[in-house]
Amino acid sequence: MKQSFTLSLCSTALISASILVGATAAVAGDAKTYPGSMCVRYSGSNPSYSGSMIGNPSSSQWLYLDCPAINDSMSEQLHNSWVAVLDRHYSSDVHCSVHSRYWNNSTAALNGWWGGNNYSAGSGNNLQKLSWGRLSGAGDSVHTYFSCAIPPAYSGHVSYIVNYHANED
Amino acid sequence: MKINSRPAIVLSFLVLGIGIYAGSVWRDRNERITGSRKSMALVAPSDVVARLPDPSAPMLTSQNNGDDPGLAERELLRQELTRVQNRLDELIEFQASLQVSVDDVLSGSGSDDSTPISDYDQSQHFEDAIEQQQNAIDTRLYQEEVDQEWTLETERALNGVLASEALQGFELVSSSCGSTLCKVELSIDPNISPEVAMQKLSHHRSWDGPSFVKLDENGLAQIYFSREGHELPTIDTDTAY
Repeated sequence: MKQSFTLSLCSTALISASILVGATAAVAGDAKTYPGSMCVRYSGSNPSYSGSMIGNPSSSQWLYLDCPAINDSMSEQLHNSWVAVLDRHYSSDVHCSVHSRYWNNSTAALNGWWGGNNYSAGSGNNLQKLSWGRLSGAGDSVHTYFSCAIPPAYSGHVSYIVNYHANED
Repeated sequence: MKINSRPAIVLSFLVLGIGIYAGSVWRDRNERITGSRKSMALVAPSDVVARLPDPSAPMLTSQNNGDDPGLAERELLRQELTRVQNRLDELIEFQASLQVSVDDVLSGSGSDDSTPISDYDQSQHFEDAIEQQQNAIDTRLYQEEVDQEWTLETERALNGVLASEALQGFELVSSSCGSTLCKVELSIDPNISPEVAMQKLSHHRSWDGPSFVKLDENGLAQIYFSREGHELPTIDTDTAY
């Protein structure tokens, strides 16, 4: 009798603990990596795609992209983020910045927060990560994206946005 | 980090409550059945079989058991079982009502004291925070000493991009720099929509530091940016929940 009561209490406590751990784990793991192919051209040359990377095959024009990130943590700001790039141009650099945007009804204005411009260095087949820390702007009306520019192809060597990462923890 | 695990905490306490209630019901039932079994141990099995009541016979109370103590014990047991069944039915109803409450909490439609903040309140809170951030940046800029060399270099670069074809329709209204911060005001051709203007500015800006931008419906842009290696003053713009 006592054993039955004790057993039911222990099993309930175990279930409760499991639920709490699971919920905490779900909230703590709010970081995502997106393939470069999710980026959208908004200006410049037409992109090429390879293995879900997005590249600039043009020998003369730059490619300008916006790469969307999902804001699903309504109460958290972006804490850190990065864009992984392949820079194969001998002199021009891939560069990106991270943005949050908000339409402000109180002031009838568009608000924007921009991280600093980050540039790749050198050229080659090594993956480079352009990274940022905290960015202001949180809430379900804010959207976040990375704005990038890819230089033209040099001697047929194409530069790419490989993937990008946003962490709201 | 603010952890939004309220539904999980509520659910775990509800499960705990159900478990404790179920445990007490189980204990009570075991005690009564065990007690009844002890009484039944005093009755020989043959007596029980020989004296099983006619199912169609009216229910006997303990006072009317007459000369058949076994019958009274069985009747008592039946009544106790009926009571336990009723209590289990109550438990099931209680569990169902708890589930409704949990669903309400998870969907944010509950009518308890912790009513979620409306969309309007959240937006207002966030917009108030934005205004505070802008005030904080203005205050810092006002308090900074001016780095003349950096200021001249920054303004020269700014004038250079404003003269470019990419930023046609953007005119400088004023600029003010300290040692780590600058504030620039631009007048933008009203034919350029705010979202296009912001896109062009972000892309062709002459500075690399982080920025805060406000473009209003009148075509006035207020841009704050920090020197490379420095951060903008920020405040917590997390929405309250």
